[in-house]
Amino acid sequence: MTSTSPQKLSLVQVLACGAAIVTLSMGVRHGFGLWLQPITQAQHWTRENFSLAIAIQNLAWGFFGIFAGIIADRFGAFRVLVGGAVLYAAGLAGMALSTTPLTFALTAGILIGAAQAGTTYAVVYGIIGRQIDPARRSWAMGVAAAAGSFGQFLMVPVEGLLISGFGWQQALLTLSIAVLLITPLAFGLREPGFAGGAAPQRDQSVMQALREAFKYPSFQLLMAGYFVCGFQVVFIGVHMPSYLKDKGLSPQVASYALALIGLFNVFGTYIAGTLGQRLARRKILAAIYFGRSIAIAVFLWAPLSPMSVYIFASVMGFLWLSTVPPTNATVAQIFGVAHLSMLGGFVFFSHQIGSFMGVWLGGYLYDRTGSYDIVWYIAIALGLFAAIVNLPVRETPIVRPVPQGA
Amino acid sequence: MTIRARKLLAYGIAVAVLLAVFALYTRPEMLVTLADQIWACFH
Repeated sequence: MTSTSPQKLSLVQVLACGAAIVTLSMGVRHGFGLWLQPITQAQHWTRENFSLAIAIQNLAWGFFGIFAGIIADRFGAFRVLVGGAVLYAAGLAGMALSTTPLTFALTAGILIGAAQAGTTYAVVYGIIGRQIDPARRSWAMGVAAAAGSFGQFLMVPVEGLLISGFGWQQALLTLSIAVLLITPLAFGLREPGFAGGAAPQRDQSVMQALREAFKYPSFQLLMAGYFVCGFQVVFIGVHMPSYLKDKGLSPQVASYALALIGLFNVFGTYIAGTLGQRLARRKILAAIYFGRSIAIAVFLWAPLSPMSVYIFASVMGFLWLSTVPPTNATVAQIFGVAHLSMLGGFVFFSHQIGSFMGVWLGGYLYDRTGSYDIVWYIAIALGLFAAIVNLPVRETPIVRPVPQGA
Repeated sequence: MTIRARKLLAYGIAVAVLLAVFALYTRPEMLVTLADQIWACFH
């Protein structure tokens, strides 16, 4: 593949700009749950109106991620990042100004979902893949993932303060201006290989790259594992406060639990990326998924107390997004970096389907059975399944037939 | 400053920033607001 230019961006520049962008893009969206109460009360909407928009946002993020990846690989990530920042700002302003559930679903759902697709991991990882040597790539992906985790950790209290200080509408408008900071940061990620609007020459077309990936068993296994990641993380993130409430624990316990998940998530993602530089990533992934199953099982079967919740939140936080760097670094290692954003987008789409299933199935089975027990057991079983399917992943670069006459 | 010292400084700053953010979660009024907003999702 010939997409890399001889001249590369500096490591510090890529990491500083990439990390700042992911901090903003991942952080802003993470606190959207805080707007549920003020928006539904002010607009006289139902909770379902709000939830539907957020569900649409998650699916749109996954769906548009594929196309954002294709465009980033073809025309450069800079254009996608700038477009994503503008969509993000428009979506947040739309959230603040929507007066009907439909416009809310279109702005908070579709616009922000598309914006996230253009400003989060898949696109930034494409740049890291192309600009940073394989010897430091997994570590660099760990730094970017840790930045995203930090953004999530930081922005929840910041957004809570914005809402209580300025009101929910002004808080959204303030954030819509803040996300425009992604645009100047994107200038630091303008790749020399994409200058002048011409796409770099490649050995494979988009369709050839897709056919190759989807026929390759290791790609299918990585997608299956990432589905489980989405299922577990979003089920726990969304439904755990409700679970703790049912068990009679105080609201403060849920808040501290979310804080601990955020804190340990930063360490977990960074360490997973760093370890991915030294150990087999398939083993790291298997250990993460196996560790999650063990943590959930112990949490369910041990006596429930605030301390058991805090220990569980810390362990799960450590394993929270730690799948992101090894999964993406493995995709880069197997298939190369020419179509990395697109392939990362497909893997992430699988993650988002899992996320949707985790939220939906959690609510559905709770309504049917009156408890979360079945979904917890499904989460344990899926974790074991993901651990097993990641073990046979072949991390070595794929061997491509040499073209005739080459 | 040696590379090792720079690394230690960077890690020290990162930990300090993380603890500062964690402290935001421990402020009583912040915690009550956050908890109310989280709980509101499940009434």
